[in-house]
Amino acid sequence: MPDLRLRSIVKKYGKLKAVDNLSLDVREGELLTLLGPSGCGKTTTLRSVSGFVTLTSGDIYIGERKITDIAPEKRGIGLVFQNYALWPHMTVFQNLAFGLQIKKLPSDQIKKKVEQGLALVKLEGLESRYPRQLSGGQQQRVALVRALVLEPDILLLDEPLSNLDAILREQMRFEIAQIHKESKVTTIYVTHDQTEAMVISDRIAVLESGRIVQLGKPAEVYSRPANRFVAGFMGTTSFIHGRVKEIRGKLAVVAVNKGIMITGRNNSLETGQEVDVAVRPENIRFLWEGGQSNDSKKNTYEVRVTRAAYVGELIDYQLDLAGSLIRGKGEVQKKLAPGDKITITLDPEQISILKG
Amino acid sequence: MFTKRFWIISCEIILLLLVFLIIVGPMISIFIWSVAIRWYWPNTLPQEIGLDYWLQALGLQKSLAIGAVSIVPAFVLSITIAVIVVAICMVLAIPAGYALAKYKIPFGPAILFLFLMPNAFPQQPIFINLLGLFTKIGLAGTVQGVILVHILVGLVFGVWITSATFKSIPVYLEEAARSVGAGRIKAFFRITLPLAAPGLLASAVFVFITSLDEFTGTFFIGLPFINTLPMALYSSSGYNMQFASVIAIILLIPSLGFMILIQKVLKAEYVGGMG
Amino acid sequence: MAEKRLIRRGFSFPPYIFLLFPAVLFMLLMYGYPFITSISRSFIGKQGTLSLENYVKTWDLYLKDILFTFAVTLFSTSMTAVLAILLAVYLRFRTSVVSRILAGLYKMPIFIPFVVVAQMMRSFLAPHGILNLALARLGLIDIEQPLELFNFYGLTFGFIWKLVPFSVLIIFGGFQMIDNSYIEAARSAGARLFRVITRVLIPMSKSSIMVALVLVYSQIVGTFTLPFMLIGGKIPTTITVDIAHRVNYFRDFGVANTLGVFSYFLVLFTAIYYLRSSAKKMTEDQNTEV
Repeated sequence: MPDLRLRSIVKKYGKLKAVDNLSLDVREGELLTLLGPSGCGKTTTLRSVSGFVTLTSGDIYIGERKITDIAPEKRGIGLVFQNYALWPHMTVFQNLAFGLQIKKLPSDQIKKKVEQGLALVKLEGLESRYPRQLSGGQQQRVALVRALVLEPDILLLDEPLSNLDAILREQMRFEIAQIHKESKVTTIYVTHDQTEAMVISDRIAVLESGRIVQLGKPAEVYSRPANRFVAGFMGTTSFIHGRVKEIRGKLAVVAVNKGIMITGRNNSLETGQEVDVAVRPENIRFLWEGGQSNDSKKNTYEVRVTRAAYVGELIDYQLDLAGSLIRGKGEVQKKLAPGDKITITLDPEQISILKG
Repeated sequence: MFTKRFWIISCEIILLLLVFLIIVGPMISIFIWSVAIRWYWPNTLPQEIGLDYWLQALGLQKSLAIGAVSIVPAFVLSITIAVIVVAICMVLAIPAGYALAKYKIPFGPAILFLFLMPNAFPQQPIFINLLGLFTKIGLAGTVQGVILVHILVGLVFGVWITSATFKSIPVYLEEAARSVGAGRIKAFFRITLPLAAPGLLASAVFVFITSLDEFTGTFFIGLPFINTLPMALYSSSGYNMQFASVIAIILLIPSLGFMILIQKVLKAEYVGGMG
Repeated sequence: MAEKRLIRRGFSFPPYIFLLFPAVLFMLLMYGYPFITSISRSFIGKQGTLSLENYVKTWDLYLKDILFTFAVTLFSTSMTAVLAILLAVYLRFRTSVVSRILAGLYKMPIFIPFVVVAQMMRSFLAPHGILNLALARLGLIDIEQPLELFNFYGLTFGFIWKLVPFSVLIIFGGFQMIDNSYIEAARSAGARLFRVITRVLIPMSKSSIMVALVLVYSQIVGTFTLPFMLIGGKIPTTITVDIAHRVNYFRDFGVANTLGVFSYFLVLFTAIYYLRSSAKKMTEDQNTEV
């Protein structure tokens, strides 16, 4: 199973750089997700790997083979489209057999492979249906099998779950992750949904404006975001602006407004630097017993509730920390109302400090 | 009793009657004339009706009236010309339509221009200048000349319809074919063409009917030798009302048939095809 | 988005050139060349030299017919526009049995070729034709003095008959693309039907209406068959009939082409509008593919 290497690829549309000098190694057998908002270049990158976008410069390698100038049909790449792209005038069987026929496999082998493929996604018996007779989820699974049945070197998935409803999407996520584990194909997955990325990926590459801004395991990207963009993109993040006051080894103290100080992880910072402190709802611990005093040095603060929204499984709070508004979440049983005051504390190890 | 509803519905019915009479009136006129043996003013209906003129037109009966000759030769000629025109026109229009639909062509607007001009400007000056050109190279009054003119008239629509047809096929279906190993050409014949077939067929039928009905170009290029159905209609129109009406009806049939076909095909296509 | 080249870098023809070449060549020879001579030959006099004598002659002989053509075109186009809009509004707002019948009925003339329309009009509008017959029976005219319709009136009737359905198709299509929510928003703000039509429906479907008008206008200017078979050589007649006359009887391509140039002038503005809006739409389509 080969790996995939992108070397300094650039794609320009007129003056616009959709992909800006991007290099990436996808390890053999891993599932790497390109994650980012619309227009960040993830789809363009994917399509240049599949061959439908010609690069302005740069090279792509599958294993030892340079595929930059090779036509799409000769690259040995499996592609799963956002809108399934099942051929409407062919049955499920014909859709799956098409690529196998091109490889000139004998028809009994083709039949066997199609049956195995359908069994893999639990769609046995649907060979003679037409795509329009299948549900969205079923069509997506057929599209997946169509790519897999050819045993490609690389598998590319372009936002395959975007057209499905929320419940189906969650189901399919796990199925895709499962199928990947079994088939061990080197895979690139493109999505704008960060939850999806975290569930299925071995590694995530976050893209912004045609560049990779962070590459790493899901946990890493989530809890140690490299910059403000990544922090804001993953999960719910509140930012508090301030200036670095003191460096203490692995930690740093940031002075935010009204004399408040927050200690977080030192991220190669210097004193005096302007930074944003990133706080996530799960970093906030409510001190229900009370009694603890307001102590900046210990990351303990008295805050005022400005908004409380009941969201079923928890309460979504907006809290006023000396003028800065941050999002928090709390148990339904310990309800707080707007105007209430409560003491919270933050664990410095969990707080990211990001350069402006 | 005279509620608003009453007035609206009465007005609607009057509207329906009016429109019906206006649209159907002229059609009724030629239908009656085609079976009128004797019809003198001011009778509402012909004094004597019969299928004589129909039989004469089909060459099954000799006529004594001026201008009532068998139109079978003209019919055969028109159909023959139309078939040749469709064949050549499609050979030109299908690749051109595909190219215009699928590629970003640098001088695209200029080419588009060329194909749109015939719709934007009167075509008669083109025909008369072609007449001048054809006279010099010996094509005036020949079937070949008429065929060329019919191709010209049909190509404009042909390219437009085929390009719209190819455009309606999502590009990702072709890409999917290539992603499973099919080359460009295979993807075209196995995926694009089958899906485009209904639209291309409609285009061909449209060109066929356009050629069948073509009058102006044939008039200038084909005179005096080439006698197509429309030419026969024109020439008998001055002499023989009944006969001209028969020919008019014969020309009506394929056109209205096409209309019914189009309504059916259009609905079925868009619902079933793209799934 | 399809690639622009089959083979990468290096000299090679993109595939679309081969696909387009035959059709484009044909159009250049059979349309482009005659189009140019249709203008250039108007400037060549009897002696074969450059001159304006054709224009002088045309002005003398055919000014009345040029104006007649313009009048027919203008009148027919405006009537067609009004009737088509009214019919389209009716179809847009009413879903009764009658409107559904009409929706099927109105399309018939679209598919009937001008030759057949011409013959139909000749028999329908004749002094002893069905229209006069019906009007006489209804007592609206004197049976001894039937309406003479092989003139301006019959011609415009014929054009309106053939082209209103075509316009309704386009304009109604435009109306249908206007979501009901826009109309409901206007009505809930207090607008009555007339205001909804003039302030919402028509402005929002301006492009469809314009396309219909432009196509109707240029079709009328360019039509030969209908005036030829209905009016023929009587005076006044249309430019197209005069051109035929000039070619068939006098072999005078100079004046014939000059008349053609006049007809080009009549459609100049509509042609420019049509070409520009089509080119704009095409570049829009091409850009969205990227």
